[in-house]
Amino acid sequence: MANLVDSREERTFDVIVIGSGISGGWAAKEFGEKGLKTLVLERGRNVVHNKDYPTTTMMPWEFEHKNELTAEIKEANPVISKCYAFREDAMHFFVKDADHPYVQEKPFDWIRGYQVGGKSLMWARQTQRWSNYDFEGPARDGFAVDWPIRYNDLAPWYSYVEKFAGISGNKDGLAELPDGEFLPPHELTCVEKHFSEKVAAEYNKSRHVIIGRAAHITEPQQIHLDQGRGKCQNRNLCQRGCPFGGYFSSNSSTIPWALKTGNVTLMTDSVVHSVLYDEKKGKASGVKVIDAKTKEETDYYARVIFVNAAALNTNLVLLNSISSRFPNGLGNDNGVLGKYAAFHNYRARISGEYDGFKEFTTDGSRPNGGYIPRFRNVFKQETDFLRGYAAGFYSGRSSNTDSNGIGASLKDQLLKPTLGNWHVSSHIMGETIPKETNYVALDKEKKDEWGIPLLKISIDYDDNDEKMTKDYLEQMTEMFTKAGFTNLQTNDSKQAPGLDIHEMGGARMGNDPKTSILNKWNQVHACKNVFVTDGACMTSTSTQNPSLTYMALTARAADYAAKQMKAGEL
Amino acid sequence: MDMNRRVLLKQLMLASAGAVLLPGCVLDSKKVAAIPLHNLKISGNQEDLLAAIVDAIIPKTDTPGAKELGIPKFVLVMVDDCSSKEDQITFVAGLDGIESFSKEKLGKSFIDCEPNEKEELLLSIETKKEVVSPEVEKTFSSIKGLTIWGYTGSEYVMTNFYKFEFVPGRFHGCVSVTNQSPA
Repeated sequence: MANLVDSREERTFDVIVIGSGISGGWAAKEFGEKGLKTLVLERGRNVVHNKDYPTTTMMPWEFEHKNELTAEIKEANPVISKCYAFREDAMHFFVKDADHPYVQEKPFDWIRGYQVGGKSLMWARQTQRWSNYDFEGPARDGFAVDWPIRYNDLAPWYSYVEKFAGISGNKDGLAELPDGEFLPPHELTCVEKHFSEKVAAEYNKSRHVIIGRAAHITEPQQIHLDQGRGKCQNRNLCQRGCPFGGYFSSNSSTIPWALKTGNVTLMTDSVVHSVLYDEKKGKASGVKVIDAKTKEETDYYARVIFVNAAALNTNLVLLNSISSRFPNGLGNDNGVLGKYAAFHNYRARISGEYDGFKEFTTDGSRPNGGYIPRFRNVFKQETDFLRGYAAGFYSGRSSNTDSNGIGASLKDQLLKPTLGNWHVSSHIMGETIPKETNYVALDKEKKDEWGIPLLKISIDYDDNDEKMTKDYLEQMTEMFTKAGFTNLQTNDSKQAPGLDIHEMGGARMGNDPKTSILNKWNQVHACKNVFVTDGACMTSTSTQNPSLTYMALTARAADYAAKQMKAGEL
Repeated sequence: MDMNRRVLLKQLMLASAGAVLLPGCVLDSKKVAAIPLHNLKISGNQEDLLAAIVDAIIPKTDTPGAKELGIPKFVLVMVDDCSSKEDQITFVAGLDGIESFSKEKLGKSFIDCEPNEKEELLLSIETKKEVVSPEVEKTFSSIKGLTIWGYTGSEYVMTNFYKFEFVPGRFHGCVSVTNQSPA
């Protein structure tokens, strides 16, 4: 690295983007396209689309442990082993516990992906828009602070990112879940359609079961072919990286697109220590980078900095950016930085069976599922808890195999499985309320091997979450029962926050610099040339999977930043 | 190691009330397992015994059995890499227990039994027709589960019987069962 950057000029860019995940990739693409010289810093290794997907064409029988984790790996990695996607086929894309320790003041399963593309390689690809019922939530219900934007501010940017990323979905015409620029939807199963119709009828069309909106190219458009991406082939092995580019990831889409502009430099193994602040000019001047391998420290400079290190690590970078002007972290005049963190409640599940449609089954494979948009407290407050939950909904026919006995008869049974009942299941995706007491902070003593303080995480459920979990199980039990589902089993895993992988906030947006870190353009109130457009910016969490909103916020903020730079304001 | 000494050692062990189950490697230190293992201490004889059990559970008929499809190795690798230390100790003890059970019931090594004798012996463990030690019960159930998993997940079975598709390229949410393979 030293040879590459032996002069300050060579270390100076128009824009620095910290992170190459789902939001950083978008920042890189936007700035590259706008002709701005951009440096993208990634703390992990490079993962080049198709070149670095070592398991992507492996057959299930080729995995030594049939995709299970070994006892040794589980023992050494109690946190990451809880993640549903941390299996033999994709574990190389996840951070191992011992490599990057953090301090759990309260139990928090921090799931991370340190590589080019970040977690966009392994994400669940659900992409639902927010509505005004989400943006107006904090103001209406009196928590957090008012969002400085509304749906109309973001709607054109949702469209913009959806067209490029490729989002499949059905135009359902729901006020609480606006339609987008959809590619053809995946199909619901017979049982999902039955459930949808039953629920609509039983609840006077106030509850809906729809097909999930997912970042899968179900019908490639020219813009996808131009990215070298093709149609999703329904392998449902997305977490390995997709050889077809069938789902959206930074690796298959925004990063190669950005690099193709010739304006973007991608630097891997570059751990950002902090954002540098120029006390004389009164703005940020660049970032301090530590080489992940050599530990060598180098400063890079730019007019504008985009912090997209993933929600909690963005907080860490900002908290660790200490100057005379900002002794408590960049932009943290009000002490809010790191606080009002929140997440999604994924604790509760229900499953059951349906003794019908026996003459039908599914064919092929679907990297998606049914989706139940929030129906609680949408248009007005109606329960004893604030906000509500969305839910996933899945169905399929199980395979029955008689495994009793020994010998030739057993063998015969195994080779002739029969179709069992339809099974149905659902899980909660609950909104949690950001609170001052749910926070992240720098540990005062412990540091990592790059000399950066460890992040201390103190995030927990509250009474609102308990009530919501209970209500979800009650309501779903009622809905399942009304649909004729039987053998219902409910479960509250009480899993720690973090395992939802939807941690948000800490550097929230707001109109008032006294109570928020970022303004309506995702600009740090007190340091205008620093932008935060990943999960850290979220004022509230709503119930939708958040990545699409990060993408839209990033494209919008990058557009604003570029215009401000052109106008000489930044 | 000559046969007489081995038989003698085994008889000595059985004579010692059968409660203390020595690790197999003590019995036969020369013949080691052919499969490289990380944690499990298994002798060549125990490896052969396991293969015979796996073979009895899913035998060769007009199609290959579990042994021919390499499932004994899969069972060992899974126990070796994916089980806890305690479960591994139980597994080895249970293997020896199955051998002792065979000798007790039929007066010969499991490996020397006729196919129908092996089947009946294992069936009597599965159906609890005979009272066996918890180790034997657990080990048999673990071998059987892993054998079924390995067999049904093998390339041979998945491609020839289950119509496995790596790249389906489609999803239909509601098709007639007659148009769909049962797996």
